[in-house]
Amino acid sequence: MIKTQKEKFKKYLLITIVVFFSLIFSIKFALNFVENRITSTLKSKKFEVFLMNQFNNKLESFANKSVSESEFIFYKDNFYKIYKKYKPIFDEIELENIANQKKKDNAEFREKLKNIYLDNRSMFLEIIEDIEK
Amino acid sequence: MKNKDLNFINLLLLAVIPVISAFISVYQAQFAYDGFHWGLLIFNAKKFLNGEILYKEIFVHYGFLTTILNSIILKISNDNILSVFSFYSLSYSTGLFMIGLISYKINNNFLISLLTIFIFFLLHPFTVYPWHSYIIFLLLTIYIYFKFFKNIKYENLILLICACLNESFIYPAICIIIFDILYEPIFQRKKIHLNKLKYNLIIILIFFLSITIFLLTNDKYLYWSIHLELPKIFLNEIHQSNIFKMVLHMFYTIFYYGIERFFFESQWFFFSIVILISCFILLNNLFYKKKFDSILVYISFISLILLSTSIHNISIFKISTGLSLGLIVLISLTQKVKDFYTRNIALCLIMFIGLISFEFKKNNSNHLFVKEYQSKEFIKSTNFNYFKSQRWSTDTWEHFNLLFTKSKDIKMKCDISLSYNFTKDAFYSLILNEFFQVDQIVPWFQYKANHFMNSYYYSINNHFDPSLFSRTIQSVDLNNSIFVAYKENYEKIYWGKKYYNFSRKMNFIELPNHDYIKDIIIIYPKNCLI
Repeated sequence: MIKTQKEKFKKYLLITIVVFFSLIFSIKFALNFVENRITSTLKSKKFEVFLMNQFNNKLESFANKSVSESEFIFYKDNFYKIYKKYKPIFDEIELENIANQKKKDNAEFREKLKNIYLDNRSMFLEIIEDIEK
Repeated sequence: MKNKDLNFINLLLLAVIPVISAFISVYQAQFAYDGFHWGLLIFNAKKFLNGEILYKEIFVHYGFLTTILNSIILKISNDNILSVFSFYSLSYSTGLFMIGLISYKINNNFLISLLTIFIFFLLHPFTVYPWHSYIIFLLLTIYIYFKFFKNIKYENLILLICACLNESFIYPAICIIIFDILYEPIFQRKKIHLNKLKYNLIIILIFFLSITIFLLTNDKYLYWSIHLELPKIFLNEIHQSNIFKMVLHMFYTIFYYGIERFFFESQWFFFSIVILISCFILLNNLFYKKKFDSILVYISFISLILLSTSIHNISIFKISTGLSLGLIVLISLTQKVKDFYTRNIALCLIMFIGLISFEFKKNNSNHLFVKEYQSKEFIKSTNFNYFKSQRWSTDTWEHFNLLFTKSKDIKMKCDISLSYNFTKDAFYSLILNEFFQVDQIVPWFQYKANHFMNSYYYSINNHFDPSLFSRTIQSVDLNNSIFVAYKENYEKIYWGKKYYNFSRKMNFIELPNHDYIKDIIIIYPKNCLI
């Protein structure tokens, strides 16, 4: 390769490098900008308020709409599953609440205990028998 | 090296990028929340100001001079943690400026010196921690400048000062001093310079004498010897590896990332090139007659030896304030290429590869990047002196306010004098310290089920504060302490294989979650009715 050809080649190489990396830098800059926008929006308080409003609207429309027969079956099936799965958790929370209650002589507390006793009468009797043995 | 000094305008132009770096670093730091690093520094500095003894009562993580320096800044700034960070930012930006001066002195080309600063800036634009690495970076640039461009006999003292900022820097410092003494006999086949030997011996003697006196006062040497084992703890207990494996792993990481992360973190590519170029310069000057300038050989050696400070923590910020000094060599060599097009192709490549390492988002080089919502929504609060310049979310302030008021209540209503922080966030130790004595040498300890950092916190605390757990149990028995811990710790906290359950004697109050830490509770005695 003669000198002028070599120089021409280097010149093109230089231009290619400048164009290639400028392109990469521009793409990265654009991507960074979009990413920042998205994360900023998702983490902002404004978005939190927007989500809450949306949720409230949906809840309201859900509460007001009429339930068709197929929907009735669908909701019944699913709420039943949810109820079965999560009720023990709520029961346990209630028991813990009762156990931790400081004022044990008030009417509300007595009412709660009464309900638990009525729901689980046979179990209570077994426990009493065990203790008395 | 004959060259003109820069005029005032050029000096100002050279200072533009460093000033931008310093300002943006401080701006970003207002939004930063880092209770682990910042909290540790401030807690130690505060203890030093309260008259506690270094090493004995204060956990000196890196070097005693860092703690002393932090406490001075804290005192001057009336306990403002942002001022401490600002000092480190200023150090880094002054280091960048010095890099420009050195580059100008080597190449006698103003544009090249600007480019050198620009590349350094692109690789690690802003200060991300108030860490000694930035001061050492500045001191090393001053060292290089004085060694080659000013006629000073005792410049090696700067290296030994660096060793007071980071005690494990003593090995690189001694290596560089030995290299300095042996440079002429080895690389230039000349006789050893006796005067140089004499000056260095005087420096080393004075240094070790001062250190000995310092360590002998208050019997610090007894506890200092325990701190010397810190690298061993990192190696054996935390990394569970040996030094050879760690060094190999470091080189593997740098070269592997250099290829794998070329378009995303091209810093690693530069680090790989700097290692190769530095080795080439050293070997060339050792074996070939056509030699490079001694300053390039020195910088190559220093940058390679500084890699040793990053073995335990291979991160961009660590390497950018050490090994990256070799970039001066890379740019200077490129500038020396005679052919116009080849030179410009190489310089363009350096600039553009540097440019793609810079990102306008949170990344490993700048994890303090401020997002739009942070700048709009985060606010200041004057309730806490330490954090008066910080801008955090309302959730974070509410979290701290509740801790503050509850601590105050507990202090007023119950006879409690001790407190413990069993989280990784030392900011709690700072707040607890306002009302109670924080009975810990290390301001954080964390146990979370199956967490990979458990061994780290346990090893550090067990080594420097072995009686912490027994003191904790004793203080619980005496109803004399409160704790800040994770919710799961209320019923289960492990100290190695030992286990403790607070729930028998203690109650807890939940703190609201905030952006950076969740499930935090205050554990206090059941007999304390608040």
